[in-house]
Amino acid sequence: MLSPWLEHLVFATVAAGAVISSLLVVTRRNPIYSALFLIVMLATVSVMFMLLDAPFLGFMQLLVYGGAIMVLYLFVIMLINPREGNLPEEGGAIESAFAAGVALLLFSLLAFAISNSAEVNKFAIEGGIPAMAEIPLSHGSIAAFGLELFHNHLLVFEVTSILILVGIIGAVHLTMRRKSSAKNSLQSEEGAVTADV
Amino acid sequence: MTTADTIFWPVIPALKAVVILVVILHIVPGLVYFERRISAWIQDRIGPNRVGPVGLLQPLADVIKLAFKEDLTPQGADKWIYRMAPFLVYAPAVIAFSVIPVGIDLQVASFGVGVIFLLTISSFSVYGLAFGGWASNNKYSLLGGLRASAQMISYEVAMGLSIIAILMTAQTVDLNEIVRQQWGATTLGLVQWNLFQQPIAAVVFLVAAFAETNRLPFDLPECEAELVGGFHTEYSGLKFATFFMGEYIAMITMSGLMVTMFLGGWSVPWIEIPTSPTFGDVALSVFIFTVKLTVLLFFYIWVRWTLPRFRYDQLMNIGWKVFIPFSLLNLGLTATSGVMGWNWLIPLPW
Repeated sequence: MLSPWLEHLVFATVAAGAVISSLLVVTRRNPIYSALFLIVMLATVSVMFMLLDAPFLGFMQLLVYGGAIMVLYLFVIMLINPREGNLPEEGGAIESAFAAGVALLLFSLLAFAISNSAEVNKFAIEGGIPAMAEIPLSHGSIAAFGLELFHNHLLVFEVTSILILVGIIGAVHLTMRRKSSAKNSLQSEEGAVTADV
Repeated sequence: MTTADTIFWPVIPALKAVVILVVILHIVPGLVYFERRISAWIQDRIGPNRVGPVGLLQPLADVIKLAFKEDLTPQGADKWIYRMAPFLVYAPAVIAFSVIPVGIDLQVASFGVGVIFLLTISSFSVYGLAFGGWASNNKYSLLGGLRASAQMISYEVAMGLSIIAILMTAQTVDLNEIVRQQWGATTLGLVQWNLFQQPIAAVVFLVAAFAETNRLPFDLPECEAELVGGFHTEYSGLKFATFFMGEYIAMITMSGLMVTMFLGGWSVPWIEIPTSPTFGDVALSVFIFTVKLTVLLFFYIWVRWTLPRFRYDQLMNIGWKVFIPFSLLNLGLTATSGVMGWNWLIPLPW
């Protein structure tokens, strides 16, 4: 694929891009800009997946988070329509310090977990991550990905789907209730209060 | 790989990319002329016929007019996002075209996840509409942007589900392989195109493609009747032209995908696909692809000037209550037929 120095260059670029855009997500006052930089961040992470020879996972990350979930975020933000005049006041120094503390805690937790994981220790004993040639060519292909998901992690996968189903039912319930109460209060003008955009 | 290869490997893909880019950019004005003449013919008018022979230079005149128009930025607009939005519509459409095979094994970029790449990139064009609508600081534009985001998300689901049904029978995401599988005739004597193998998926895909490219009868984000021009109300000059070109290129890309997935791509049922194609074979396959693409683009224009616009709630209703259930049903049917080996229902092409 890419020559090693090119791979390092691409990785350095996207890693720097990911860090900078993540910082911009939390520091922008206007949530539209935060959403925009979050999309950039997701794109850089997807490039990292591709560098790891997992193009399917990379594109799925981009398709699901970048192409669908962020559009919904944006939809909600645009409904609120934040502009220079109507942005809420930012929290004071105490709130910022608290947020920074939580972020630092999460970071150290993740760093600790990663540096102590069995996988990393195994690589440390064996003297590094196996070279590209040792990883089978099918690694990261759709078939390999499907087998992993539907054989080795079937239970987790199915439990996740139930979680999503619960979410769907909750969303449907919320919209149904709003519709009927609107009908009661407004003597049902057809389609007057439903989510017509 | 020799040293020369490591240095020069990007040259040929880059050359192909430039050729495709130039060709697509030149198709757009032609397509606009084509559309204006056909719409005139459908409505029993004459259409543009003054500039050049039979009005052929009309697109050039349009481009010159757009280039010299005053470039306005509305008061209170968010300048950065306002400037960026047209390119967010235009760029994904062009990039997505790079994986479509226009001839025998001829595409700009060929890699393992062709169809998924195309879906991903084209799903990004919604940001141009949404950001453009928001940044204009205009209520109509904002409504257009909101409509665009809800509409594209809804129809992306139906489109994705219809494509998955095809990928299930094809067992590959390589677009050239999908074209090869559609060559030849079935036991019933029908052409082995996915249009006949997977009719439900084909119809759902076609309708979703109209919605994804914001063409009538689904052009609710623009909707001149209610929203003036929707997300591009405030845009003028070349920024508007960029939006406009983005829409037409997206139309070409979607038609190209439709031709590849459902209409046999660059193949013809009665001409055998050569294993080692000569230059003539490749040229012929490009010609065949172009003919199919033209027919589909004509269909796009025909529908636009024939059907009236849907209402927004109708659009959402048929999207969620008709197309998504039908494509899910089709997916279930395809999976069942594949597992049970019901070749009479949905024959496997391999």
